[in-house]
Amino acid sequence: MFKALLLKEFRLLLRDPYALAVLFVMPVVFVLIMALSLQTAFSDKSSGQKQVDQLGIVLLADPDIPKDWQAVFAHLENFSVTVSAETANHRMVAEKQVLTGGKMAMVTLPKALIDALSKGQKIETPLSLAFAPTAPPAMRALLKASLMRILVEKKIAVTFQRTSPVAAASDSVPESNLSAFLGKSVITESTLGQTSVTTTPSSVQQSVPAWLVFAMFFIVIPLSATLLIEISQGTLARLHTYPFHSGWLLLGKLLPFMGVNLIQTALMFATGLWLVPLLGGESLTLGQQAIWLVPVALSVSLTAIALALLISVLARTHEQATTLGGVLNLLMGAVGGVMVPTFVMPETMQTLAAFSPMNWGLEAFLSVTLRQGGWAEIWHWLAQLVGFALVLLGVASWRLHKRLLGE
Amino acid sequence: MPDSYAIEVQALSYDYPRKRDALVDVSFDLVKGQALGLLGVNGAGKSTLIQCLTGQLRPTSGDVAIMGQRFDTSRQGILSQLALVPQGEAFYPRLTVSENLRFFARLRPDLPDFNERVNESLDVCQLNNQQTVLAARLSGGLKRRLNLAIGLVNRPSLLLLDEPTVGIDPISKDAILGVLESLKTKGMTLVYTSHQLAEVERLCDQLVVLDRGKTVFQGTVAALTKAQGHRFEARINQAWSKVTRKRPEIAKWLQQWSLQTQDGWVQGQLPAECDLAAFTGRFLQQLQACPEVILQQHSVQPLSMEAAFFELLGESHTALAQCLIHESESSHV
Repeated sequence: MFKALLLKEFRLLLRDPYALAVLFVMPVVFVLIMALSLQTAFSDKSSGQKQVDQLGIVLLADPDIPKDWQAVFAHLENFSVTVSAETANHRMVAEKQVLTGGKMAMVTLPKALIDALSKGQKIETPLSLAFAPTAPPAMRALLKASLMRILVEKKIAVTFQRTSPVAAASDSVPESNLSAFLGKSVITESTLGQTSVTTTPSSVQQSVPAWLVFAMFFIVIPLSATLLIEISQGTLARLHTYPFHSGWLLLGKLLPFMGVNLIQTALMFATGLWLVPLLGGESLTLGQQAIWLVPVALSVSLTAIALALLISVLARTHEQATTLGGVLNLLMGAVGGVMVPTFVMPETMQTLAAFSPMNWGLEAFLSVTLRQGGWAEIWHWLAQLVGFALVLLGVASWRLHKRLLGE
Repeated sequence: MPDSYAIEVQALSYDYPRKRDALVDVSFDLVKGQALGLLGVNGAGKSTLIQCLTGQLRPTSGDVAIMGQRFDTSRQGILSQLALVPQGEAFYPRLTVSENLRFFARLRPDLPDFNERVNESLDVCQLNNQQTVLAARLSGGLKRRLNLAIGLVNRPSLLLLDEPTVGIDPISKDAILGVLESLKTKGMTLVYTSHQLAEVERLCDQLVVLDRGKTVFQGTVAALTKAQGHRFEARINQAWSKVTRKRPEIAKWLQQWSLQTQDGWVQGQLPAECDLAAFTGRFLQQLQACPEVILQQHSVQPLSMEAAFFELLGESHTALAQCLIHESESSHV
């Protein structure tokens, strides 16, 4: 029985060429156009204004570190350094700035490092560097080299002051044995919001999840086409007189369209992985925990289907449903960072984006592909998506019940 | 014998949240193998009653038993024995005739003979030549036949049909009624709602007439016409106005029976309780008192179903009732 319900939905969808075009052709074309045309806008060769923003860093210095030592690190060449005392509050603010792209990195300067350096001892407590997920590798290397240069210069200067020139010369070890000279662990590096590997953000990594989420919400077109006919012609009333629980009817709608959304997901990621590079663009990186893309896709799908169901039961005609669904999708896409990435939006628009379910889905996808995130990074997005979907399903069921009763 | 009843409805009432008294204290029974005609103008409560009979609505009060079972205890048992043929084209236009039938047949995996059921429905509704045609491309009449075929594909004991012939040509209509008559002779119980009184008269053994949620009649077609009285008609050789001027007592008598006169004609409706023989005798007696008057013809006949229906629904529904009668007459043509 359930197999019959699933087969029926797939058969109806396969015979709807317009819906197939909107669901599968439109997003692939969008990804190709956007990924290829915005390639330079997302690369290191982006605008000068963006470069300056990326070079901003926050220096969290232990309040006990002398001011002259703080000043040494505050005047890093090529970087605009904001110095803050290392407190829990300042750390939280700094992390937020780095995560949201306001600063490129956060440098934590421990007092033990300065103590060791000022005494000419080997460094045991390293300086820690936390980069933004979007920080380009070249900028990361430049910052690391600049910091290392300061540390080496200072160590040499202190060593010269404390010992004879001969002793200093024998102690000043060349680059080949820098760790023996400075200490085994001088700088530790990490990326906020990710565990290990760094990735370079590219247009394809923004475009694929963005247009995928957008396309998934267009499930309203085939879903409303079938459901509205079922409601208006009495087919749904007829199905309700069959001896099985009406929950099967709901599942019979949800699962086939979830299947369609998963096919869309596979198609879009395949486009980013293989088709875009074939046409000269950069390749999509799925991240090391790509398995989490599956629950993300399922959660976005559930929300998209729930919204499509609600629109379908509110509309009187298929035209009404597609117009209402289309306009709503465009608005959610525009606000939610599909058409314009949220990181280039002003703060007020970024706040508004947080209300768009498409933004939740997009951020969940980006957490996995771009920020190398896992369950800890995506669960709150999934909770928001699934919670919202359940509310929509509840309202849709209530409205459908009323409508079937002719109220 | 309770086992012999397909439907037992006792004091059934239903209130919508924003429309109270959609059904008020409706009671009737239907014996297995019989056909029940459900009549009433739009908004009378027919669809609400069908929804209560198919378990889509839970009655506000009262009791519904289908095949001796109740929805609150044997919902699946009841639903496995009935089928609904909705008024709309309740199938999938983008599936073929065969795919539609196979889909609805597959929804009952508990029933045997999958292929036989599908073929039987195609045969009965004469859709064999349209098996591979998309439902959207069928003519109006064939769409109605497909709608009926889907209702039959799972061999229900009770078939509920909501205006199954609306908007189709007389030949297709006759074909559908023929199928239903044949199903009835094979023992299937039918509930048939329609505005086409001639169809109901042809098919149904029992009638329930609803008006604003209330039962205004329940019984056979013959009982409906009988209950509404008889039509009296007579013609004399001169104008009645001349006769009544000379004999005011005759005018008074005619007025007493609410009979209307025009030229030589007198006509009117006699109440169901009227003693027809006594009335006719008294009428002839009145005329005998006027030697110049010659009775040319007279008749007393039961009301037609249309007239009875018109009478039943009363003046408040005059326009609608006339509309129904007009539809019914058209169907005869």
